[in-house]
Amino acid sequence: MNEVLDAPREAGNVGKSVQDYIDELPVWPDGTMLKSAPMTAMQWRIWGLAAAGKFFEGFVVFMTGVALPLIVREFHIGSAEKGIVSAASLAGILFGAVLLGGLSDYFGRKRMFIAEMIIFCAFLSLLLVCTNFLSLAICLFGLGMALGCDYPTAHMIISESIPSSARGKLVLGAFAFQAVGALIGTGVGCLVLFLVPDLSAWRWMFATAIVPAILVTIGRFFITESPNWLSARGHHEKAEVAVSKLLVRQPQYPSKISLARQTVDTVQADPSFWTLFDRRNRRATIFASVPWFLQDLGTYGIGIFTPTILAAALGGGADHIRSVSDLIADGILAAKGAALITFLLIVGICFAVVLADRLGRIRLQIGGFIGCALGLLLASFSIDFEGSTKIAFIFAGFMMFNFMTNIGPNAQTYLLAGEVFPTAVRGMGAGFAAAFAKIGAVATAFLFPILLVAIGTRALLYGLVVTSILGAIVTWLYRIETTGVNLDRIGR
Amino acid sequence: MMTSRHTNRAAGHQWAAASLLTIGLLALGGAVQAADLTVHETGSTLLYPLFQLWIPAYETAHPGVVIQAEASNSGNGIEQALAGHVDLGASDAYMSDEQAEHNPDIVNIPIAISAMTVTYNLPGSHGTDLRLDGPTLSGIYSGTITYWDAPQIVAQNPGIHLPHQTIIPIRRGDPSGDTFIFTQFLDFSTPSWENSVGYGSVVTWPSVAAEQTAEGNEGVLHLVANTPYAITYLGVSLHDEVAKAGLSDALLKNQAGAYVQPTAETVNAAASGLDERTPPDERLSLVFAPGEKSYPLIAYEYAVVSVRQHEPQMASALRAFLLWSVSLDGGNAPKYLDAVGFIPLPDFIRALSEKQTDRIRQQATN
Repeated sequence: MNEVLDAPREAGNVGKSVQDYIDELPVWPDGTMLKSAPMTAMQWRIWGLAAAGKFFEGFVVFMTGVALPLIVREFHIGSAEKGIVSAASLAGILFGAVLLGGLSDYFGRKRMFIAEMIIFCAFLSLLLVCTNFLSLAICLFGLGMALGCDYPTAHMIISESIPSSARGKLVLGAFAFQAVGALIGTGVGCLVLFLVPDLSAWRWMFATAIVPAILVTIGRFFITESPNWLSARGHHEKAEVAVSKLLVRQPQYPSKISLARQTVDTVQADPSFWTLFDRRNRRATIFASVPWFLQDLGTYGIGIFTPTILAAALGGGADHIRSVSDLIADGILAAKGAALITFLLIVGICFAVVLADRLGRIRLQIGGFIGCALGLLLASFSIDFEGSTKIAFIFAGFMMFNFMTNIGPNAQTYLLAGEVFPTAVRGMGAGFAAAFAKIGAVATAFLFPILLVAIGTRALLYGLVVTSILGAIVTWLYRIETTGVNLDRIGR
Repeated sequence: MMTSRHTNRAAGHQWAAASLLTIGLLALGGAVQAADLTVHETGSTLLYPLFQLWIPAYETAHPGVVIQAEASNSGNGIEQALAGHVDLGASDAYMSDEQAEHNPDIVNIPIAISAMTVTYNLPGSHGTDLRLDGPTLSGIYSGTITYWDAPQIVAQNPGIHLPHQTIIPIRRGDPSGDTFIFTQFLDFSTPSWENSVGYGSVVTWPSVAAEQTAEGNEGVLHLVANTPYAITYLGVSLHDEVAKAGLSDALLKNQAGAYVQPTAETVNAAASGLDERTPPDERLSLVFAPGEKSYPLIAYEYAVVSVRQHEPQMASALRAFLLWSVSLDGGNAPKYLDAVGFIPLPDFIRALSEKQTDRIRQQATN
């Protein structure tokens, strides 16, 4: 039988919220309080399985970038079909974030956490046996759905299970695994191209992810449901059991869980999509969605310079694809380029992990947006120069943008979207914010080439400087600081 | 006469007996092997004139081997070789990725480098070589440029009087390596063509009101010679016939922006720039090669052959013939290639071709 550390405090445990229990600092029998609440094995398991999911997302998405030229050649995909293939993933993310992500408010975080991974594994397996363009587009849409669902779900499953004080670094720490997955995905993609230098290489690339992804799926069956969500839905007894499973310690603390019986109104019990736009949630919806949308605009803008950066850093590719060997060589070059960009992503997010709970989300997001604007401005100066000066401006602007967006809006918009909504609509809110940003991404992907021709690179970049500053202003005007805040109190 | 048709599927002991018999016969003297072996070839009409030059010379120097060549088209050459109906397929285009993947025993061996011309029948313009670029030819074959005095053509040919006559684009109606090379040039030089039609031995051509089709290089030559205001693409091996018919060849704009004609220098320039990029299976496009002097419409001419032969004599005969065909004092000698406007393989490519040729062996089928 476990030793009970907190017997004197038993009476004080009555009427607490789930997050109160999770945040509570364990007390030794002599009354000594720990300085922080150590993560339990279940909390680490949940975090690890969420991080693993993020890892496979990055792994597969970046690998798709390496594999796509091979697939295009094998399936004789034309430019119109290429557009559909690219749009299939984005459309999948959009629908997955809103539809599947939102379902976690109805069916629970754990169920959708498992479901998304099953969808991921199923479509990944189907991708291996694709034989034509249509089946490819369907598989990429399906994978996109899983990725979209994971935007809100992985965030919530972590943030609703861990101490408030460490939420920023743990959520972003898991988010960073997407970049780690991307880096390793491109590495594995390269390795497969070296080992199997023919058109079938892309199938082997995706095959490497199947077994580990299935293991992660199985692992997700062995976690607790979010007690926060159970409590918000009025399932107090189940929530208490879930908290006790979540906070298993040796010796046990707390020994007895007794949650406050909060009244569950109809909105909480059966929230509709439109709840996001009512008076109580409107501010959070704008705050989570608009800056994320504006951040995506800037990311696409700086993408204009990606080919220049990669050509300068890694050398140019083949003038035309003249053989399968050219295709393989181009694939390896693309993988190196992706690795370079991902490295910048990792560096930025590492800083974000360290600083999110210290400096606060709002400060980092505003500072990041301003840094992005400066980066875009620096890059725009390159238009007036040639040769090494031009490349220097592009490099400086590109590096500054990437570092500042990853420490700021890229990381913080994701973190905040899963924090600013009340538990009852958190899945829908975070899902909507992700989808809203992706609508921007899809629109800009089609609109930018037209704008580049119509108004030119300089005007477009100046426009993006303005949208980045607008991101900082919107963040300030609608700010909801969540650093260290108990999630149960959000929206009250 | 013993033929090489791949219908003889003898059991192991029969092979052993045949081998012993062959060794015995060989030991008796060379006279016995005379006219014992026939190598069947079909395919490219562009390569056919070269085979016509090679065959008498090779058969004289190598008694006992008969080479029967037939002009059909590159697509047929590849198909017949894949089906095992001929010993050698001749093609201006390499096998597709699917064909290569599904037929790992069939190799594509470059035996020379050829060029193609864009040839036109413009009455009253003989001796004046027009300048044309890929996008203009794409426009002609897409139906967006329909008159000889279209602004795109006039802009490239200042000072030349061009008639207000409808352009008649002539294309191949059969699966053709020439079509592969020509459409690849349009694909590499014109994004709109790349995004719509693409390239291949057979493509879905855009519908053009004035278009006409013909089969084989000879058929195309005959049609263009008899159709005023027509334009087409032809193998350079028909250069003499083109000149006799009073037709003209266009200067084509290369990747560097220069207008060039197919000469030994410009074809060599294009090929030499891509030597090192040729993979071991030698399936590489030389079209629209980089370089100031590079002629854009060139290609390796391929022998498509199985490395897994049923009969040791056939394996040996194919190896000997292909090694002779790529050697500088054999089939790649100027006396043969100059006559058809081809150029010899660069040393690097010759070595790759020899290496692939050396893989041709008598091996039991699975």
